[in-house]
This record gives sequence, structure tokens and C-alpha cells, in this order.
Amino acid sequence: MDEYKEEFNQPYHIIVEGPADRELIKRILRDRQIDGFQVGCGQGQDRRCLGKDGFSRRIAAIRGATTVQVQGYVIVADRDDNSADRFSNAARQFAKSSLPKPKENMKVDEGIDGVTELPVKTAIIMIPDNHDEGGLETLLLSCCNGMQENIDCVDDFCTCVQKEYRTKLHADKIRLRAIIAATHRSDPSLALSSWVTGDHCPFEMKHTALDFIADFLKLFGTNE
Amino acid sequence: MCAASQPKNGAFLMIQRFQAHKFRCFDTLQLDGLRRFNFIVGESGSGKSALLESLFLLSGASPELHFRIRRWRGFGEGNVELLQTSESFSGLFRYLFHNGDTTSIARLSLVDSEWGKRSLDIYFQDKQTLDISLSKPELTAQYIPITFKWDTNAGITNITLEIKDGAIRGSGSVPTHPLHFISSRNLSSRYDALLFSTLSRALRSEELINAVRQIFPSVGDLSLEIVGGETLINAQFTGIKEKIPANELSGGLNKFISIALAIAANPRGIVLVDEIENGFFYRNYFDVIAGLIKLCGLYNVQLFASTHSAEFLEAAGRALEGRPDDFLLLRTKYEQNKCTITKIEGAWSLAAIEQSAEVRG
Repeated sequence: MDEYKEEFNQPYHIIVEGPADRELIKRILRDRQIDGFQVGCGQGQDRRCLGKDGFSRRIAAIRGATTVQVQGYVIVADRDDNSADRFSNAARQFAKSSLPKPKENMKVDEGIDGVTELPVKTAIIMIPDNHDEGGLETLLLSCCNGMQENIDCVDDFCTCVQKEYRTKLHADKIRLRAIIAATHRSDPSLALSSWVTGDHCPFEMKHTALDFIADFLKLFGTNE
Repeated sequence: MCAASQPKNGAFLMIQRFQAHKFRCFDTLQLDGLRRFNFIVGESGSGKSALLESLFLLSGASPELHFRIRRWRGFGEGNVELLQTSESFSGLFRYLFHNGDTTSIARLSLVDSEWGKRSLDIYFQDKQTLDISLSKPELTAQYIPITFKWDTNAGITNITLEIKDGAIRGSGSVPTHPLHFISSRNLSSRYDALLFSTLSRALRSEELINAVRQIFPSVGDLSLEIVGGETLINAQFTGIKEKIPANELSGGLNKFISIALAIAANPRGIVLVDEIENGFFYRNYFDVIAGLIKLCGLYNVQLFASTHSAEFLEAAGRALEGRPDDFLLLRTKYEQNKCTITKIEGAWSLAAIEQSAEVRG
């Protein structure tokens, strides 16, 4: 029997770096009832997400499998420690795929798909929106209410074991991992992608820190 | 299956464009930029077989191919029996026309890299009505004859089918296009034996046997033997002390031999295979398609194959990895009373297949 195949049947596609981003965006779309979008990452032969290098592969796969006319693509990318460079990388992958190349974060670029020769729009959402550095974990930490004391403990622990944070994203990954381990009752090693699909305290899916993504996607998915 | 002439100057032959108008489920269809390996996917009844049969009929020598296709589809497996009604005759051809509209002209055409354009118009001679001759004149019925008009580089040939002496008759023939068709129902041991004999006499059977061994390593040799008065391809298997007819032992082996023979016996030609995965075990898909692709390369053959299997497509994708320009996916769809085909270039379809996307529609 054939293994599960992902069907591409939505007019708008959100392309992310990894499985946790994918699950978070899916959750935002579902909880806030935003329709018409499909979310995924570019995968390697082992079916693992390829991170920031996989955007154009995902676009190629969408082109090869879509059963409807694609009207727009959004890339959601981590700022990491060099926001400008990460934005350029995402924009370059649009251009490499013969799609309009966005010039600014969260600004829609409209143009013609160079392959299908049909109108299409593109955009890039850099996360988080409230820091110059960071990524998904930074954003998720913003959604964890009342956790600052716990984060301080993690920072103290890292100081104690002489573990230096290389970048803000690196620090936030360690902080969030520690918070998941400390707060999830049954599985301290729960994957981040599983964590965001559940209703795990202290994480709040309806947190205003996620509004910028939801608001932008709602607007992007309309024909206005 | 179809006896075929070869390209004049020995160049590699490839159908580059295909068009259909008011033919079968196609209202208007144009496919440009066809590739070396063309895989056709889509739901049942969406036009996969119709596309292959269109190419087969267009490439053939006479309207007789229409009756072969009918038999493969399960119609009139015995002799055609005509009743004293005009519908009895027109009904044999009605579904060559889009939505059964026999007042239209069904038109097929292709452009290939060697001979250029070839077209076929099929239409009822609406200004001509003939009588069906019957033993009792009072039962005489009228019918309208049907014409198959081929336009090839050799000129225009009209073959009109009429009822004469109680049978359907037409005269004339057209130079064929070098094309073989393996439908999901027409494997013929006798025809395969004939092709094998042709290869064997030309001392060209070894490549075929090697290709078979790649997938069925227990096959030691293939040869023609007379079994029960019938000449059949027999296989010698490791550990078995007598040769066994290939079609007796394994449906997959038999199918592979049929396709491989069609390729090897049709150099610089075109091979069509309907439901190519049928008969093969899924773990062998890669070896099967890789073996056939290799043979197509060896004999410069263009392949059109329909499939329902995502696993087979994935195997084809792996076998053609790094060759996006040789791969084309044709996705058929039936909606609003017509079949449409979406062409998906190799770069995109291979990427989608590699990423486990559903490319079949």
C-alpha cells in the first residue's frame, strides 16, 4: 500500500523551516479559523525538514503537485543572529523559483509566476517580530506567561555549568527546552512540534504575541 | 501492438506535440513539449487510456486498430454482428466522438522530430447514405459510412468503412508510425514470441535477456519452444531442470518481457504502456522501471506509460534522478463532460515525488 502522500489543494502556501514552525502555524490557522492555507517545509530524501535551505524545494514540490492554482506563497523564517541575511536568503529562494522577490519583511509583493505565467503574491514573515534576533523559540517564550523566574533559573544553570549562549536564538532554544522539560508532566523530552500542538501550560496559543502572524495571514489570504 | 516502419535517416524519434479535438473524452487538447519519458496519472475514467489509445490509432495503418482497441476494452470480443439498423453500424464508432456527437469531426494530430506532422480525421460521410444489403429487400436499412482520413508525410489517405457482403470493409493503408502499445489487457504470448524471434535472428536477444536477469536473477536463459503446438517464450530457471513458458510462471516476468520486447524490437520508436505497474511486486518497481529506462536509452525509445501507483512513480523519479528534462508528468482529469490534461515539467514533478507529495491529482 502506498505511504501517505501530502496533497496540495490550497491556493496559499506557507513555507517554514522545521516541524515545530509547521505545527505552530497550523495551530494558529486552525484556532483563528484562517482558511485557504497549507503549511510545510522543504524535505530531504529522509523526509526531514531542510530548514532555511529548503524553501525553494518546497516551492518546486508545490508546483509539481498542486491541483489548484496557487495564488500566494509566504515564507516564515527565523531571524537567527543576522536578520538581514536570513531575509535575503528567503527572498533569493523566491527569485530562484521565478517568483516575485519581496523587498521588506511582512510586505506583500505581487507579480507573475515565471513558470505558470499567472498572477501570484509572495511575502516573508521574519520571526520573532519584537526582537532583532532569535527565532521560533524566542516567539514561543513570549507566549509563556509568568515564566521569567524560571528563565532566570535556566540562565543561572548555564552560568553554573559554564555553558555560554552563542546567540539569542541559542539561548532561547535552551530556555524553552528547559521549560518544556520542567513543565510537561509525562514527557520531559517532548518534541517542540508536539508541544505546540497541545494545550500545555504555560504556553498560550491565543497570546497576543502571535497576533502579528495571524493578522498578516488573514490579510494575505484575501484578494484585497 | 503495431507493425512499424523505421525513421528514414536513423535519427532519434520523439513525439513532441499531440493534439486531439472532439475525440473520445477530449474536447480540445494540446500537449506540447513531450519528453523522453512521459508518465500519465489520474483517476479512472479521466482519459489516461484514451490518450494512449489516441496515439496508437493515429500511428496505425488502418481503422482496424479501432476494433483492436474495442476488444481490449472488452467490446465485441467475438465477431461484430450487424443488425438491420443504421445504429448497429454507427454505434461501433459512436464513442470515438466527443460526447457521442457523430456529426462532428474527431481529429488527432501529432508532430514528431522525424517526419513532422501526422493527423487523422474521423467523420461520418453525412452526404452519403448507403443501404445495408440484406437477403430480404423489405428489411433494407440505411447507414452512413465512416471515413478515417490520415494525413502523413506520404500524403493523404482516405479509408472509408462500408458494409459489404454482410461485413465491414474498407480498403487502403497508411505508412505506420513506429509505435507499440501494450494495453492492460493485450499481452500476447504469440506476438511476444514473434518479436523475440525477430530479435534472436538478428542476434540481438542477449541485451533483452540481460535486462530480464537484472530483475529476475533466477532466469538463466530465454528461448522459443513449441509447447502444445504453440510457439512460446520459455525461460530456464536456476534449479529447475526444464524450461517453462514465461507466461506460465510469472505475470510480472511475462509483462516485463512484453514491454522489454516492445522496446528492443522498436528501436528509435515509441512504446506506450497502460497501467505499467500491473503484475509487478512493489519492491521490484525500481528495478523494473530502471531496467526499462536503460533499455529505452539503449534503443532510443520514447516511453508513454500510465500508472495508478505512487510507489511506481517514486521509483521512476529515483530512476530518472538528475534528468528532469527527460521526465514529464501528465495528470488527467475528467470534469464537466471532458478530459483535461495538466502537464507538469520534470523539475517540478520530480521534486514533488521526492518530497512525498501526491502528484496523481
